[in-house]
Amino acid sequence: MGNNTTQAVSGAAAPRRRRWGAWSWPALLIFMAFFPATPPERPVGSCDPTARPFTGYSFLLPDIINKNSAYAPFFVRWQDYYEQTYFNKNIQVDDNLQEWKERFCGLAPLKDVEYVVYRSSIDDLIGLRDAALEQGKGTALLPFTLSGNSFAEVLALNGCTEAIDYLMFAKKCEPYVTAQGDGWQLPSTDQETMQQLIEEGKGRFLQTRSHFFRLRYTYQIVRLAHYARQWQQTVDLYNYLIPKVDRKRPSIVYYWTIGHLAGALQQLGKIPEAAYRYSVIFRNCPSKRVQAFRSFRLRNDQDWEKTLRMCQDDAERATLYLLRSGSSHTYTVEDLETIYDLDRSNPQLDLLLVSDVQQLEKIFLRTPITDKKNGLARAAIRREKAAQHLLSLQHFVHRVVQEEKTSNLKLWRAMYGYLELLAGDRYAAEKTFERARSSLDKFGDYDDILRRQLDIWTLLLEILTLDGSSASADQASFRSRSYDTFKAMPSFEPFLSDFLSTRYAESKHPGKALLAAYEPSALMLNPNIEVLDDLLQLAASSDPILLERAMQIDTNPDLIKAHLLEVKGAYLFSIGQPEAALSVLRQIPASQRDGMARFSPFKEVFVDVVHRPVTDSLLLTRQQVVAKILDFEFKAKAAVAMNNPVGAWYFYLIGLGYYNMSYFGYEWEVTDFYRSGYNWLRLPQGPVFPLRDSPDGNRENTDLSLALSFFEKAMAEAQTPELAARATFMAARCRQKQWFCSPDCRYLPGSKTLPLLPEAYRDYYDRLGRYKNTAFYQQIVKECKWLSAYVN
Amino acid sequence: MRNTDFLRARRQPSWTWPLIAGLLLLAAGSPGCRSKARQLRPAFYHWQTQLDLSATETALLDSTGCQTLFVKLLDIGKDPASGDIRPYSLLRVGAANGWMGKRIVGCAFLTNEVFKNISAAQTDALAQKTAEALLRIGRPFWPADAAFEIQFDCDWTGSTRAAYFSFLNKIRPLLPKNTTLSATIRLHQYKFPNQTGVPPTDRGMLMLYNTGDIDDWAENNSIFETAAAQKYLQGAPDRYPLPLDVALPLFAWALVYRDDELWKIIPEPDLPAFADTSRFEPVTPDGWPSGRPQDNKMAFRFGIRKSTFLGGHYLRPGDLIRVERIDSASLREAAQLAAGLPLATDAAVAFFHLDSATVHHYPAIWLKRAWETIQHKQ
Repeated sequence: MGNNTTQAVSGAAAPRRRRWGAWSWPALLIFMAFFPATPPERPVGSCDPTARPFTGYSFLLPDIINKNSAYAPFFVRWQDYYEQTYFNKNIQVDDNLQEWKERFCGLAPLKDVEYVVYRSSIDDLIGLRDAALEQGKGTALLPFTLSGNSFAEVLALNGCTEAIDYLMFAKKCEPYVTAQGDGWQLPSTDQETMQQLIEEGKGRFLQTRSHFFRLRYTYQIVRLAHYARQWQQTVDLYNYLIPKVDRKRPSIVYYWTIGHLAGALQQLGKIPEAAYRYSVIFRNCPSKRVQAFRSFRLRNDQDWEKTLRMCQDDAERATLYLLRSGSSHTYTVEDLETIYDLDRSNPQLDLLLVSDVQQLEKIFLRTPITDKKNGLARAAIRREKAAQHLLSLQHFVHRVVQEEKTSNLKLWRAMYGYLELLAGDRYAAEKTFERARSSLDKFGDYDDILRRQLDIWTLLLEILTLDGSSASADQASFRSRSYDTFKAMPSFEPFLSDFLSTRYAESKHPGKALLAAYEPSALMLNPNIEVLDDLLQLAASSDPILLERAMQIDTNPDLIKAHLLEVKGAYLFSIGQPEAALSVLRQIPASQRDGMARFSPFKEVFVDVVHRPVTDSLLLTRQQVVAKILDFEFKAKAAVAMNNPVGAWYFYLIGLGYYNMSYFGYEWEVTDFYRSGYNWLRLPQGPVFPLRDSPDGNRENTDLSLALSFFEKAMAEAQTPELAARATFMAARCRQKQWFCSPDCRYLPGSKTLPLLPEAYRDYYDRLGRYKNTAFYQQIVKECKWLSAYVN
Repeated sequence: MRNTDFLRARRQPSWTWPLIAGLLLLAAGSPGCRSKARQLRPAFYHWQTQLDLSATETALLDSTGCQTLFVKLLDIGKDPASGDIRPYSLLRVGAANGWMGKRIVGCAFLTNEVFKNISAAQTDALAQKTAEALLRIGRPFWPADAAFEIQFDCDWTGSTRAAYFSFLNKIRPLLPKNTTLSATIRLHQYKFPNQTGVPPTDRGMLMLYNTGDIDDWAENNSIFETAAAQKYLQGAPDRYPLPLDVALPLFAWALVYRDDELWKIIPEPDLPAFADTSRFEPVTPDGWPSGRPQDNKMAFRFGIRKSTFLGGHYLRPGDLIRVERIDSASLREAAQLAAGLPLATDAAVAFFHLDSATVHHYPAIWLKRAWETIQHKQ
């Protein structure tokens, strides 16, 4: 039995199973259609690896923002769209090649420029230089790898040794300023060679006349110092070289250079100086925008004030505000107002507005059901704080719309309506949507997008006006589901479910509320009489549309009613009210009784298993089981009154039935429809255990006090030691399970060790010692090897 | 110690001394007198990317008698975009004066993500590259032929256990034969070794912190709470299958919650900044203004009153902050719990972690007391 114990516990913890008794296959199929969804096996909790993150409902179309807007990826989040389309694009190479091409009057195609600048070897460049030194002697001297390369030909024919010398120098620097290997080694910082290169670069810089190349030498030198981690030298070199470069012609390389300067300044602790330069890069240099965005950092408000003072004009200040908001995805109305005041037609304001509204809709479109499903307790507090924010934003957007100076007035008008909707002013929102719609052009891609956006918000408005107390809400919600607009927006379905559920709950329809938000199987996880009665009332109504559709069947209403009655009856029975249970179960229409599941709960099974170990020719429906229990009790009482020894046996049978129909018994399904083996591991937390997609958790019938009371009666009335031994043994099992459910229990079911029972729970095992001479004891001790550890 | 004093006070006759000495020797070897036999080692973790100890950090090591430093040599993670497993940081070793002469245990942190869906061939390659990187970075610490220890830190789960343990088995032969391998053990792994497995290493470092749910705003102090830690320790097996060292928390952080989710972790926040009530408003665990700092001495909750920067992050009104730190009382309680653990006879008692903030916030005397609490109770 030592092994048996292990098996039994393992078996109990194993996945639950369903059994459908003597149902015919067609009946089974209908039943499965009735309760189609299988509740998830895993419980909810922070450790649940399959838990789905809920980020809130959104009714914003990504297309309302111009995705080509250069700043959009930094402010707006729509899945990984921008990661895929923006951040992985190497625009640095493209922009640099463009400058080289322009420098040489566009004489060579980009691919040839790219080969010479990025892919040629040092030997190629030496050959190219030799050819350039023989200026005018044609291209015959070009190395084989560069023959036919029109950019190499331009350099050779024009004797551009200055350009080639620069490329050769850059090639020498390359190993020290680019990531090496696969990241498993620190970049080489051969200080000596790097310093030699810096000195060589400075010499070449001074000998170079072209400012195009002077700037590039500056970049190489400053970068070398930065990679050598010589922060102060980086700053000094920058300050020494840059004034010697004529920067009348703008170049992206200048911004690359100040990127390295900013990096060094940051290392030196000059955070505002670095942040200012990153903001300049962010504004002016698309090829380094990503790096600047990621490197932008301010420690505190003093840093911010200092950085702000460095800005030379309002455009720079506006960029700084944008970066501050965007870098932390922290949007405030004051920031929007400041940017607007600095630069009224700044198109990036659209991004901030949409980002801000993305946050607000997550808050204001939540319902109590949303909170219940996603377990958030502070929604009310956030809503109150967000309400102030929403009001401020409405004022600001209203001002922008009135002043008509923004670059995308149509978007701002529409957004104003959405803010009204979020604020709960549905009438005003409807009017604003109408006005916004009338201002759109009939043709035009962007106007079409805004029209679709307005359609979405209008449908949302329609849903928000549904009245849960009226039957028309059911019809209207199903109509809404049929719209293409509804199907196109993923948030509609879950939002409608939560919203309807909230409305039904407010109008005292708990059953409808549950079915609107959860799968029908949720009814059985922790049955609630009010919910079941509401649904029974609905099932009896002439048009139980919600019930049927939510149950995903359209069939015999008797079947629906029968199963609701069965759930209610099983629940009443599980809480120790057999008379009430019988009364409910008797209401099951006669036509449905044949299809009911059948059980055999009165067998003696002395190991903990959750499967019926033997088949029985006498199988009973739930109604018959309840009737049998009541009958046994009547007979027991009558027999005891007559001092008939059979009374004790009936008490024993009742206890046996209750035990077998509990969470710990093989016939648990009489009183429960869903049993999770996982709950063995956390019995003290019960009897209601958290379960995902369940409104009130999963209730398990772990209370054995009723079973125990009948075993105690059997013990008291038993007139033979054999029956007394049986009843005592079962009573001891009840006490053992009660210990497992105790908050003080530290025993972990599933452990190979025997659970040590505290003295308070050992009473019946101690008492069992009196019956060592009975045949039952001899038999049970053979089956349960561990019993001797318990029995004195 | 008390026994010896007693004997001295009684002035035993001279003939009894050999007998007493013999009894004492016997007693020293008995379980009841383990404190004489155990030699715990105070240690620190160094978890930065640059090992360049300041004078004050060195002074803290010296004043606590610390001769062992657990130094993170590399962080290994999985690139979410490419799926490549690669180091995210490699230690840069600066001036040697702070650590010279100390025993350096090289640590590698691997995210749990690394071991998800990893193939056998990838595990082989990871073991090879990790071993090479550890030996390369650790070269300044370990003279040729000297025995040393390498520790792996990974919060493995049921789904990654097999891969992580396989990695540990594969890396062992790639390191010098006399290398001691150790692994960090989280509290839940300590409590349920049968379920979570025991790493195939020579030692285990039990991390006696992170007792709470960091994501949960309602949590009081997720770094360490005695009651929460006790729940892990109660019901744990009497002996862990590996010789155990123990790590105690020595850090503070501010957890920023936005939109009901943990948004940022700000390590070692500027605590005096929270006195500025124009920016930070004390709140209750329910999020309502409380008018004064809340909770116990270890944790404080604040709401943001106006937009402000903190620890490099721009916060906005509505954000909530819970500041968590370890004070002397909680450190003492952690030490008392550690004292009851079945530690190895030569266990390292490591403080996590050494940096300028630790030096500033935690006087050496606190740390010595914590260490002594464990040493004397053993």
